[in-house]
Amino acid sequence: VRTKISGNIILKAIKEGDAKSFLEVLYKREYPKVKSYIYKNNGSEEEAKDVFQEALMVLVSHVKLGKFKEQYEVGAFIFSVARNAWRKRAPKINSQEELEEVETFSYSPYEEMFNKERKQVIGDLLEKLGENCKNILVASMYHGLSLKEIAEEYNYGSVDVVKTRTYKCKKRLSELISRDSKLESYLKETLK
Amino acid sequence: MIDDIENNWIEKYFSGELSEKEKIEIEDKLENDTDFKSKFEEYELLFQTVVFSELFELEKEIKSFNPNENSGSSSWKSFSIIAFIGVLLFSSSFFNNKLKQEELPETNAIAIVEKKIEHKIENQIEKDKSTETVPSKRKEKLKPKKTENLPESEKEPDLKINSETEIIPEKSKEEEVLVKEEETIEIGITEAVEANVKIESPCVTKEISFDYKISKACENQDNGSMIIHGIKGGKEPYTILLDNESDSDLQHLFPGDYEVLIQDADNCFSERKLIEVQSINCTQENDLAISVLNDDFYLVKEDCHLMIFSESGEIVLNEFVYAPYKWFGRDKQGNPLSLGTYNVIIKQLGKKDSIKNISIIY
Repeated sequence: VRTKISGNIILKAIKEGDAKSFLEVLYKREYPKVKSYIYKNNGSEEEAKDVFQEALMVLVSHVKLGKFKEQYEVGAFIFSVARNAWRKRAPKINSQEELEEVETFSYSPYEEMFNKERKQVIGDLLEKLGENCKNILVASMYHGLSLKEIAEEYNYGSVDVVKTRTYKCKKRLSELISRDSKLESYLKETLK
Repeated sequence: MIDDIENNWIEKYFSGELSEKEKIEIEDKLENDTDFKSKFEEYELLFQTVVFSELFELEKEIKSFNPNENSGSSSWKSFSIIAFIGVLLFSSSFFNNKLKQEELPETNAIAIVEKKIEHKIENQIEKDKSTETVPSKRKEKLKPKKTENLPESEKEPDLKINSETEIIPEKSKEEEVLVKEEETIEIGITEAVEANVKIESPCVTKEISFDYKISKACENQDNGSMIIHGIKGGKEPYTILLDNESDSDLQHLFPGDYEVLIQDADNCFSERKLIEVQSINCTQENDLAISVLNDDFYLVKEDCHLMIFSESGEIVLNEFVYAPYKWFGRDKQGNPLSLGTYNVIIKQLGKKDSIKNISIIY
């Protein structure tokens, strides 16, 4: 019960974007296991940290995109992603590894989600959208703030203003994507 | 109306606000309703684009995070408290009610207790602020420049001293007990905030207001413009903030929405206005010319926005002029310009800009 609840609270912190809290907890609770695994398989501390950070990013992105399944246990998920990442980097690992159980988690790997091209394309797109529109969409879609909260945080005169603004910003982003067919198909293909 | 409901459902699906049962309904609809599927996929693309843009930022934070620097901080302690209370709450609800998650309404007592605990912990974190090294990403990112002189109806709820005067929706007895406790906490903060405002801020008594005029812009052109006038209620000099930038060019605006805020000399702000520069379909170039009537001046025959640049690109005149306008080869201050060629841009509503060259010869 304790593990399950802690996991739920970590997921809540991730959903709310409270990075400091969940990073501290996960470093304390899950990093030692990953580090120990990497050490056993001839990795350095630096590499362990790298792999762990990649696993954290995979976890966070899946939670944020609503792809993290409720039955997953946070620690097991991180370890599994980290282990797979290390297997890709260092294929000559302990032969016992091959005998381990079949992977139970489904996820998109780090290098697929956080590649340079995607960062560039999305960065450029959001820049065209403009800072204010970006802020309002991030507040609504990423942080999950209500119209009222956005009105308060950004000093908009009323909820109606935020509603209109959000609608227009979504429309503008949608237009920016649809007017460039190459961009549209790139996003559709990669953001699955 | 149906569109609104469907859009609302789709948004809730992605924000994780739907129950498992509702999610299944959505997934069924996706299989059977192609229009709905298309709307869903459009929103999904926007959602993922926006979320990824932030995840790329978060990646930087995760890469630079040093657990050794942060261990033992108040945040970790708070988190442990949440976890501990979470265990208690879960155990209590599990053994007493054995309720399934989807059967719990959003406003049930457990949810309220959780919120109250979070509220208390947030307050604790506020108190511990001096020991904090990295603020919460959510709070940090969303911290705006506060307008301390917002109209009464729009002030932050924290600033209300007497919570008894607030309109509170009807609640069950159980909720009332919890709410009372919550209010007690809020009053503590309220007083502190109020005290600060009284001592430090000259903005509370100010209401800065302004008016504006807009010239529409052609599609994909920056030939729209905005004139801010009638600023009152604050202390000069004023700064116009366009989309939070103080040095924006108000005369070269693309179609779209702009947020305008006036800042006065005491750093007090006006209410934020959302101003739209409308887009118009411009097909023909304006045929306005700046014509030489005689050696003394140039004549503009219709109302337009006139911009004159020197050869080096320096702007010498930039204003809306009313016809008939006579330009005597002088800058805005009335000083005669040196001899040479000047570029003139004449902007007129609904038409493409007209660009001319003129020479000043005395």
